[in-house]
Amino acid sequence: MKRLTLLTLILVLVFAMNAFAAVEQGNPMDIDLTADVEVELGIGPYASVMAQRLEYDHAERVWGWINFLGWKLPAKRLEHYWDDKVEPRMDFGEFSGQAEQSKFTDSNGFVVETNTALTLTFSGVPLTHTLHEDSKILTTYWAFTTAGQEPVWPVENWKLFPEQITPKDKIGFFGEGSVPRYTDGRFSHTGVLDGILHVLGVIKAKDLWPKEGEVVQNLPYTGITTNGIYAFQVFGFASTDAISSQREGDYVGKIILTVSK
Amino acid sequence: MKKFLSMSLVVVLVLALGAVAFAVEGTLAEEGTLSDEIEVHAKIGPYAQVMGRRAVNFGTLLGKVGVYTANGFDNGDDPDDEFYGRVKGDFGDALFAGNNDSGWGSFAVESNTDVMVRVKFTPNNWGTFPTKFAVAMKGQPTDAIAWFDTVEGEFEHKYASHALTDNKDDFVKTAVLYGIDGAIWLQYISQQEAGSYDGKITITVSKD
Repeated sequence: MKRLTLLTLILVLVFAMNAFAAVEQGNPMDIDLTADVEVELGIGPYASVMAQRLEYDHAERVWGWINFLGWKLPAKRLEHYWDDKVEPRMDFGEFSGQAEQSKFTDSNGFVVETNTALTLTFSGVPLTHTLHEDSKILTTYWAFTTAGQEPVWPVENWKLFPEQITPKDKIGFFGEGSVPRYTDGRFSHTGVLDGILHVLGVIKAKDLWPKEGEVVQNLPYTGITTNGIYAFQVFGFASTDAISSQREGDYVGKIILTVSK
Repeated sequence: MKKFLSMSLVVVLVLALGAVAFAVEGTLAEEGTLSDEIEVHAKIGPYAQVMGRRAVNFGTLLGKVGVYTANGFDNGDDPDDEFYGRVKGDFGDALFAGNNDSGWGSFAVESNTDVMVRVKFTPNNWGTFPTKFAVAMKGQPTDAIAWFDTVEGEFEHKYASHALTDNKDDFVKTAVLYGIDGAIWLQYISQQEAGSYDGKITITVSKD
């Protein structure tokens, strides 16, 4: 019995000593002990896409402080208010039905947030009669990158246009079917502030107009190379052809943005 | 009451959120994709035009008593097979006196919807002789779709779809052509002094 107990104690001591061998050896009271435990983590590619529309609400003069030669003086300044609670939509309004009546408008666009590089693809469905699918309005869309996305809402008072609707670089034209017609005297623009036309650097609408051969069905964009928030704006061109080429009635189309790794 | 107000506020909040855009988000692993859409809207109002007008020309009548016609859409061997045969009943079956085979008139209608077309004759500088006109669609000359004189006639022009065309000025490709046949009845020789006479046919297009 005593031998058995002694043997057991020896065995326990041996096992305990082996357990201590797994750590840095030494008297923890006398030396610094460090040990590394690996920590591993992966983040998968993830993104969000949001269609967004901003509409100009109003501007008003409000009292505030201005700096004048180092002095803070009260004065009225202009503050602009934009409404971002608007349903995303591109609306060309009403065509009279006249042949080759053309319109240009905007949708504002999309905001993409991503943690990785992305490939974007813009595609569009032309305006199609809600009851007769063979009746279509000639439609082409135009994608742009924008200056960014406003970090502060409402837009700060010195900014006339929020960054996400300030077009920056052209991406290209996209859509299906023939390019809309342009005829002097039968053109109008809706929903687009004149200032944006100046930002685009054009004087006449015909300078904007897409030409056959410039339009693709699926427009790729590979400019997103790292994580971040990116905004895009899409404009639209539409026109009737001959009077009887498209029926009277309501038409619906679609702009689609697809993102992938 | 408090519970009701709370519930109302919740309902209002839910409805308001429904009007705000939400992002679509998700993983892109394993070739995943995400997409979002913007709806595009437009409306086209009713629109039509009348074009390709050609005058009805009876030519120079002999002056003898009888029914004179101006037609050309239908060329039969016998006057009874032509417009005379269809109109003579209105003139008491008076005898056939003459025809201008290329005297038919026409107009074309292009529209983006179904429309009513009304036609009426106004005798500006005309005689006292009874006059009658009929409208027929191109290709169907014997099927008059409207009869008229100084009393208005009407017919429905149905929307006719035309494909996109490169030649917008070619109305034959984009519109429907209607022919006008005409007939007058000289009842006696001295009824009308020899000379030139003219009138006007007014075409009115409306949605209903």
